[in-house]
Amino acid sequence: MNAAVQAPTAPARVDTRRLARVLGPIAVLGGFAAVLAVVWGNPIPTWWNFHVASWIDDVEEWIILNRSTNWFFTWICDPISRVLTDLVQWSLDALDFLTWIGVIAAVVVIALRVSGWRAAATAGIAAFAIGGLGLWEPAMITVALMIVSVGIILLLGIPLGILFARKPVLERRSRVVLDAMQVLPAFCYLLPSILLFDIGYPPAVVATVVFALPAAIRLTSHGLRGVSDRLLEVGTAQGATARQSLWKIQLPVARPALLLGVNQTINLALGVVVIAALVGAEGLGQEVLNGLQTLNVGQAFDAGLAIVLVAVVLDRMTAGRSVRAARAFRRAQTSERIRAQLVIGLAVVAAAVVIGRIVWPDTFPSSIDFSLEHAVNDFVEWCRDNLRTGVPIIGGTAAISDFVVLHLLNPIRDFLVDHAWWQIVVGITALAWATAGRKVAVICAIALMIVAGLQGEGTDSGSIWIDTMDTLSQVLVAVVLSMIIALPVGVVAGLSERFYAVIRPLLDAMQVMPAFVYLVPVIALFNVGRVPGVIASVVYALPPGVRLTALGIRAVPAETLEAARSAGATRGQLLRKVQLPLARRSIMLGLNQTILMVLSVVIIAGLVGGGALGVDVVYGLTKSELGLGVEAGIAIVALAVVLDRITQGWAAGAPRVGTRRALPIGVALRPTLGTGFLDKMETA
Amino acid sequence: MNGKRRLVTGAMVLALALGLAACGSDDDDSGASPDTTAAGSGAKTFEGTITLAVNPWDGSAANANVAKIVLEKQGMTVNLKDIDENAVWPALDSGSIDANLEVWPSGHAKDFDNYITQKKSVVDGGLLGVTGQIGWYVPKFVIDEHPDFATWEGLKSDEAAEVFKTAETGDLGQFLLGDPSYVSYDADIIKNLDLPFKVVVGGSEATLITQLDNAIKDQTPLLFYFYNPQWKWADPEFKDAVVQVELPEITDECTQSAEGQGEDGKYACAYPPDELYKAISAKLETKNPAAFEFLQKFELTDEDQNTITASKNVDGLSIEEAAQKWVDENEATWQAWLS
Repeated sequence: MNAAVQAPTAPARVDTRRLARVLGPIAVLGGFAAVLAVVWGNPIPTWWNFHVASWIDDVEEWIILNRSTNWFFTWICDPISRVLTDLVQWSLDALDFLTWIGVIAAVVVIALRVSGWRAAATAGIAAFAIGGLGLWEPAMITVALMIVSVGIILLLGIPLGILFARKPVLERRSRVVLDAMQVLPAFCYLLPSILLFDIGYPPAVVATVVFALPAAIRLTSHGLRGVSDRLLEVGTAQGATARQSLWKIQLPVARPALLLGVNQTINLALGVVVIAALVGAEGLGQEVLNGLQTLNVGQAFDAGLAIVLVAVVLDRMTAGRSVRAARAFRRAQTSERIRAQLVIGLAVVAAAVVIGRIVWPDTFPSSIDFSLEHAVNDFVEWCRDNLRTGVPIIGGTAAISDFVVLHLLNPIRDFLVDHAWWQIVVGITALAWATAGRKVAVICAIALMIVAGLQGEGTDSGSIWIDTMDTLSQVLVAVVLSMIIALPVGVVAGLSERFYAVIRPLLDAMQVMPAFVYLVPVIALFNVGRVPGVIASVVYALPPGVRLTALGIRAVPAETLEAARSAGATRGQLLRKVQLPLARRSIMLGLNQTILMVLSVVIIAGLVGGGALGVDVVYGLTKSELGLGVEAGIAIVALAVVLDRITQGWAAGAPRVGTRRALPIGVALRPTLGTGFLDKMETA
Repeated sequence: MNGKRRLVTGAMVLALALGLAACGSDDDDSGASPDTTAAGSGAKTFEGTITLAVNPWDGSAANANVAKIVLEKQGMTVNLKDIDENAVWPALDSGSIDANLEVWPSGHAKDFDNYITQKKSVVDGGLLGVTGQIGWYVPKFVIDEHPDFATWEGLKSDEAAEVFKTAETGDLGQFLLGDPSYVSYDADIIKNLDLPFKVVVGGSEATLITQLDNAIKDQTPLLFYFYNPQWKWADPEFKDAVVQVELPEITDECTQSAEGQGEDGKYACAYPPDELYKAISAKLETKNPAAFEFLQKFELTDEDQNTITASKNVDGLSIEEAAQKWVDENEATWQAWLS
C-alpha cells in the first residue's frame, strides 16, 4: 500500500500543550469580541471612521481646480500623456502602413520563429478572422494599445521582478499593494486617471499598466526563484559575479517562465480593453459598448469574439515551443540558417506590404464577411422565448432565478446583515484562525476592521458595511455554484484527455470574452436582480476551477494509481480514495482562483442588478462621488484579501503531490488565464 | 544562445516598425484645412479643426453629426469622439474636447458647479432646445387590468404591492431603476408618498430596457423609471405598449429640493423637465471664435431631434445619413446658426 493512500490518523491522547493551543486562541478571540462589543458597540460607532470618502473628495476637488496650473500636472502628467498618445499613434500608423495583409504576414512569420508551424497557422487564421468579422480597424487600435501597454509593463515589471527575486523581503512587504492593484476594479482608477492624463489613449494605458503589472512582476520573480540553488552555486564556484550569474544563468534558465509572464501580461491587459472605451480609447471595447447600448447582443458578441481572436494571435506569437520541440529546433539551428530565415521572413513581410498597399490600400476588404451578428441575435431571441418559462420540470430560467433569490441569496444575506458587525468580524477571524492559522486570522481581522471604518453612504443600504455583507453573500453563492459545476467537469477532464482537449478552447474563450458581452443575454433569461450577477460570475469564474481540478487529478503519479489498482481498488474507489484526496491542494487553489475571479466581476454584477458594492463603485465614479467609489473599491479589496488568505491557508495545508514545482501561490492568475496558463506552468 | 537571437529579431522588428511609422506619419491630416466652399455667409470664416463629444445615445449622436455636417460645409474639420458622459468634463476642461452638445442638467449638477461656476474652464453654451423628461411608466396591459394604477394614488394599495412584487422585493412592489448615475428621486418619492414599493437598481440602461422588453413580452407587471428622448420611443409598438404613471404636480418644496439634487430627502412630486444644455470648453472662445459662436447658436427642437433619430431607428439609416437628410431638408434652420 502506498503511504499517501491512508489518511493520517491522529493519536487520541490529549496533552496539556494541545489544550493550550486550543484554549489560547479561544481566549484571545473572546477578548477581541468583548472589546469590540463594549468599546465599539453596535452599530458601528461614528467615531470609527477613517474619513476616506471625504478625504478623496477633497483631493478630487483640489485636482479639478488646480489641474491647469499646478506644476505637477503641467510638468509631469501632461508630458506623460503626450508621450503615451504619440507612442500609441505611432504603433497605429505602423500597423496601418503594413496593411492588413502585411500584418498577417508579420504575425505568421513571428509566430513561426517563436512557436512553430502549428501556432503560426492558428495565429494567421485568427488574424484573418478578425478582418472577416469586419472589425479590422478597431482591432488595430486595440493592438496598438496593447503594444504600448505591454511594452511599458515589461520594462517596469521585469527589473522589479528581478529585484524581488533577490530580495524576498521586498516582495512580502509589497504584497498588499500588488494584491490591491490586481483586485481593485479597474473602474476605480480608470475614471479618476482622466483627471490626471486627459481622455483617450493615456488613461487606458495607465489603467492597463496598473492592472497587469503585478502579474509581470510576480511571474518574473517566481521564474527566477525557480532556478535551482545548485546551478547558482556551480556558477559562483566558477567565479561568476552576481551580474554574470543573473545574465548568464538565471535569466536564460528562467526563460520559459519569463515568456509565460509576457503571455499572461498580454491576456490580463486585454481584460481592460472594454472599459478603456469609456474614456475615449476606442478600439474593440467601443464596439462592445456600442452593441450593448442598443441591446444588439450579436454586435457585442462579434466584438468580444474579435478580442478573443486578438488574444489567440498574441498568445501564439509569444507562447514558445514545447520543451521537446524547442530542443529539436535549437539543434537544427545554425548561424547561416538563422540569417536565411531572417532574410526570408523580412522578404515575405515586405512582399505582403507591397501587395497590400497596391491591392487593398485602405482596409480589409468588406466582401469577406462572416459576422455572427444575426445568428447570435436569433439565438438569444430563441433562448428568451423558449427557456424563460414553460420548460418541463424545472419551469424555466425565471423560476430558477426566483429560487436562487429566495432560498440561497436571501438567507445568507440575512444571516450576514442581521448579526452585529462585530460578531461577523470575530466569526470570520475565528474561522480563519481555525482553518488557516494565526497570521491569516490577524490579517482578516485588520481587513474587516478597515471595512467597518469606511463610513461613506452606500447607495443601496446607506452603509458600506451592509453593502459589503450583501456582496459577500452573492460572492459565496456564486463560488459554491461554480465549484458545484467545476468539480465534476474538472474530474472528467482530468480523467479523459480527449474531453479536456475539447473543452479547453471553450474555457479559454470564456475567460477572454469580456463579461459585458453576456450582460444582456443574462438579464434576458434571468430577472433583473442579484441572480444575473451571480450567473455572470459563475460563467466567468468557472475555468480556473475546472482547470485546477483536472490538473490535480492528472498530477497523481502513475505508480500510486498502479499500486491502488493492484490492491483491488475499483474505479470509483480509485477516484474517491486516491485521486480526489491527492488532488486536494490543486482543487483548493482552484477554489481560491474562483473566489478572486468572482470578486473581479462584482462591478459587472452591479450593472445587471446585483446592487451592493458594484453599484456603489459605478455610482460613485460616474456621479463624481469619487470618495464613495473608492471606499467601495477598498471594501472589495478587503473581501478579496480575507477570502484569498483563508483559502490559500487551506491549500497550503493540503498534501503537495505530483507537481514538482509548487504552483505559484499569490500569483494571481485572473482575470484572463487565457490560453491554458496553468497547463503551461506545469510543462514549463 | 537562443535568447540573444530573439533579441536580434526583436530589434529588427522594432526598427522596421519605427521606420514604417516615420514613413506613415507624413499623411497626417490635422494641420491642413482646405478653405474650400466658404459658403458666402458674411465676414465670418470657419476654419481649423474642432472635436465634439458623442455620448452613448442617439440624441447626442444626432446633434454632433448635424453640427459636423454644417461646419464641414463651411470648410472646417470636425472630429467626433465617442465618450462616456462623465468623462467629457475633464476633457472639456483640458480642451481636448471642444463641446458637448447635449448635457442633462439633472445628472451633472456637481460637474456644473466644479467646472462652469467655480473653475470657469467650461462655458454654459445655452440651451440645446430639446427638453428631457423623466417619469414613471408601466406596461399598458397592467392599466387595462387595473385602471387605477395609472396614478400614484392607485399605486398606494396592497393590491399594487401584490401585483408588482418580485423575489427581490419580498412583500413590497418592485420599482425598477436603470443606470445609477441618472438622477433619481424615486426612493424619496416612494417614502414621502408612502407607497408600498422598493427600488431595485438595475445598474445600467441596457438592463432596464431588457427587463421591460421581457415584461411586455411575458405580460408580467413592471413599474419602471424611463425618460424621453430615448431611442426606444422611435418604435411605435413600444410607444403603444407603455403608459406613464401620474405623479403629484411639482410644488415649490419639490423645486427647492430638486435644486439641492434631492439631498434633503423631501422630494415627492413628478420629475421636473430637464432643459438640456450645451457645455463648451472655455478655450474654444479664443482658439476658434467662429466655431464657438456657432455652437452657442446651435439649437434643435424636440421634433428636429426625433426626426433624425427616427429616421435611424425606423427607416434604418445610419446616424450620419439621418443627420445629412435633416440638414438637406432644413437649410433655413442651420443658416441661422452661421450668421
